[in-house]
Amino acid sequence: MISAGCAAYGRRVGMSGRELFSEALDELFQNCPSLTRKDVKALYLGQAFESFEHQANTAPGHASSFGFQNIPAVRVDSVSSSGGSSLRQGVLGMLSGEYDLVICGGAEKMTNKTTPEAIEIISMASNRDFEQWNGATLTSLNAIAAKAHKRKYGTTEEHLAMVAVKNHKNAFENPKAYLRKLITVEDVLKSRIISSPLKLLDCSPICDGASAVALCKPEIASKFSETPIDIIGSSEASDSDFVFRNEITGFKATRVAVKQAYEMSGITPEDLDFAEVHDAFTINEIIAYEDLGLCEPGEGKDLIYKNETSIGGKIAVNTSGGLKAKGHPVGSSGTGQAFEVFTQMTRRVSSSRQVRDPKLALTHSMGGAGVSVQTHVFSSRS
Amino acid sequence: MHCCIVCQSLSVQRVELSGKGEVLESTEMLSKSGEFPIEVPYHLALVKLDEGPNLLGILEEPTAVKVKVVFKKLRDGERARIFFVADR
Repeated sequence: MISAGCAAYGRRVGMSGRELFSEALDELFQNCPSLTRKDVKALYLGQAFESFEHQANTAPGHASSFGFQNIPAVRVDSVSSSGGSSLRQGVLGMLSGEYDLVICGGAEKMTNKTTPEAIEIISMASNRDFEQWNGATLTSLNAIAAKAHKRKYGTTEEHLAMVAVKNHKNAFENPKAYLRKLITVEDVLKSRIISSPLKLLDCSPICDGASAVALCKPEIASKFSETPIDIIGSSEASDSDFVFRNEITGFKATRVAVKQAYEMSGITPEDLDFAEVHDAFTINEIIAYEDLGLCEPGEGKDLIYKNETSIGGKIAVNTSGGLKAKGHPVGSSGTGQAFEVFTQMTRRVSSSRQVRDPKLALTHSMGGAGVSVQTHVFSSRS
Repeated sequence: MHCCIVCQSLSVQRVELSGKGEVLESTEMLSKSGEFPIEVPYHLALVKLDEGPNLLGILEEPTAVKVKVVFKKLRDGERARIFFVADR
């Protein structure tokens, strides 16, 4: 990974998904002056929902709009992890030998719809016949997971709130983040219920955003960057719909994917300096700690309670603010995580947010309630 | 599902179930999809049927544990939706 860019997440009134993607690309090229558009052999775009902008096949338009001429430009969709899938496709493009340099990105425009309209669209991430049709939303599926997790492991609403508090604190210092507001556990507990036990401040915000990263073959990376970042693990897995699963206190697709990523990279979770994990809902971050092997099943609540995932803790998680507070413009979130890795490892973040000596990082992107997962391991050469 | 969710066998057939089951978890929803034709608040439950599979649907009595399925057509021309009522 030789460069990255990110359009600030938020309510970007008057800006289309395409314009936001161009904003992310602008920053990507600014961060890598020796890179030109002609170097880019293919473009992958994570973009989940056609209904927000009434636009299908978004990738060619997003590419040509930035002046890429006739290159392969492909949209990748795995709902909330579309960006993670976009990154994975870029890695596969490299590994296949077909391309020596690609851009993987993501973009989503969401705030042009009302909240009920947006929830209707986002609900397409769940099963039509057996989930949506009978009244379920993504929030409600995760609320059920939270209740089951509490019943099995004792994870309380206070534990969930602590995730939100930590991620808002990290977002407060991040100029790309949407919810740059410090909050308390009490603020979370007092916020209105969306789907019990999940409250407004347990949920990531509907927002607009875009991000992009440039990948090239390792042997030519030094031509473009003095501080290239190696992607040493990459994996992807899927699972059945939430309703059909017997286990709802963990997501097997995460465990399957991350096992492959650790094996490919030859590392263990203890080696990681920081991680960006899928936290569309606070319960997701607790479950991710467990599924990613940062702790044993049921101990996720202890990690957050003991501040071990804060910056300066045992392993900093969601230094960007996560989907929870940086924001969750669906298709962008996965490559947005890689952008955070890039900025941390190339020392582009403020000192308060900088992870000390960041050498190894993990990104974990999840689509639906544990339906699609991608994990990537990044290693700094410096 | 076109396969067994336990062993993935494709040798499956349609069978009539009792419609009875137990609530595993439920959630009170105060936010919903715009198209869903019931107003909030409502309770959504994950129910394990006596025969094994899970279903999601609206729990009409929030404190019920033993429940049975009721199919309701909310609009003409649409497929039925799943509700759970207490199985007394």
